[in-house]
Amino acid sequence: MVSAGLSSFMGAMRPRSSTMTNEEKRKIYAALAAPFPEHCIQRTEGRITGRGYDTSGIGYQFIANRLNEVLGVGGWRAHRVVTVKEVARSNGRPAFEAIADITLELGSWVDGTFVVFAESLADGGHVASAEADARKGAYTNAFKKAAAFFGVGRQAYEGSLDDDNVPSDSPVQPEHQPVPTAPTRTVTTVPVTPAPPRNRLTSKQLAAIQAIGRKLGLDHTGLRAVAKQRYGVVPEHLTKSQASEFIGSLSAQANGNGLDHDDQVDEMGA
Amino acid sequence: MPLPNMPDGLHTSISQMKCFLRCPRQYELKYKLGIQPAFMPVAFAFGLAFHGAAAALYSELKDTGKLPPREMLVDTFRDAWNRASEGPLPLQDDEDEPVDTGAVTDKGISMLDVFHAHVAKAMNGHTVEGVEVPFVAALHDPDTGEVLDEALVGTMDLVLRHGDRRVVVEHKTASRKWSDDQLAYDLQPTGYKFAAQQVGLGDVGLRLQVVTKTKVPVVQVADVDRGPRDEDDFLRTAVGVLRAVDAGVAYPVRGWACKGCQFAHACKPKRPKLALVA
Repeated sequence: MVSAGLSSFMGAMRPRSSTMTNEEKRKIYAALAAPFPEHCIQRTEGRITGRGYDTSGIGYQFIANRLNEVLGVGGWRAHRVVTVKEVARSNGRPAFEAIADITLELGSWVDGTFVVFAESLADGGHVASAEADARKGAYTNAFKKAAAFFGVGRQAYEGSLDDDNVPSDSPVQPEHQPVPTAPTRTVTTVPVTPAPPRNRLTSKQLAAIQAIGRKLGLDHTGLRAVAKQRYGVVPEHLTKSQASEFIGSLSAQANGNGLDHDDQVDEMGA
Repeated sequence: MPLPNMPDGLHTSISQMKCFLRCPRQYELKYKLGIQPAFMPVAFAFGLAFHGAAAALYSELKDTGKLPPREMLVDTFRDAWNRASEGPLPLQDDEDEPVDTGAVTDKGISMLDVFHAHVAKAMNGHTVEGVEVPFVAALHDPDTGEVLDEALVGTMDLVLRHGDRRVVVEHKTASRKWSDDQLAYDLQPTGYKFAAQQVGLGDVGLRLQVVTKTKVPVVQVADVDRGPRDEDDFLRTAVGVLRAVDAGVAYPVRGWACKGCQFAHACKPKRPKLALVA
């Protein structure tokens, strides 16, 4: 399965849109691949999954949330083909085995058409007594794998978490294992306090300050000296509002020194 | 190996993070207020000179495939050390004693002898892929996935290839061997592992080569492990430091390190003037 997944991945990151820069792609990947906090990780005891060992994985909804947060609602879609067949379990009971092949596309809707910039292909399977459960399990399994190809929940496939921690509804008891009497499921939840908004100037503001500084003939040291004199800190540590004011004042100075009005660097990114 | 350009925009570094964790007040004086240091610590200048010599050795290995003679390392070290000694900032050791530059040079040479011998033995099966490899990596909030405006920048001392795997090597000079805790928790290897993935080096191995300044110098070679949890810790630390700086956190950490702090001259605690009451 691993080799199949890898081969899918190698051919799957096919950019179809030329409008996105590598830098933008890199940023999207970094955001998608950010590790999930502890509360997103579901831990399941081995006696529930029937595997005989404890597993942990990232919940389906957290994967979907990450895609929505990074790409926006409508910024991704999945196509699936699910095949189901009836099987007999080792204990003779009938069950349904579903296999889902999914194509996860990242892109955006343009004039009613979904324009794709990357896609991944993955498959997943699940066995359950009810066909609906088998379909659902196979889909979420494949979906998580496809998302991991874009980095989302990649921990599950790097060995630190398990790729499929969905409990089977009728686990096969390993030999010589005690039969559980009261299975429980443990989910660790840690509340996350939202961080306060940041006040530091933006990279764009800094770039504007540096650009105007150069026009005024100020080198790195000179610009630092001016910023320190006015605000007490180096340009990299101005606040957004200080940077905004500094850009305005430097721009005015640049224009006053005879520069063409068109050369004025507009304030950016405030 | 393509070398990324250093960004014009906002950035941070592992050194900046470590500085803040050591003393937020020092961070403020150094990075935010842009205060000029009063002196150059001997250990810092020595480390720079040693790094220069190590880089020269590995660059020669990379270019020619041959280990350069010991004398080349010594010359490189001497040049770098002399530049530091004669630089605009006076040298100062931790005890504020006059610096015996001759003794420091001798110590450096004895350490380089050991280091040279170590490299001669340890390069078996390794090839040098990069020396002083700069990197720029995007940082993100591990909780929200938000990519920060500040990029992580730095330089990897050495990138070796061993079989089909790359190993990022960091050199340190230290008064003694690093403890297990230092090896396990130091931020630098974690930062390198994190950055290596972003600059296309893949899942790298991490190695620290610590050359001790003991009477008989030794080279401590430690292959360290860093996993997803370490990476998560690293990001939380980076984000936490940046947010704390943003929020104006700049409390001083008073202690033994103050005596050897380059910014102690600007770090006078502000005390309210007390009015005399008759």
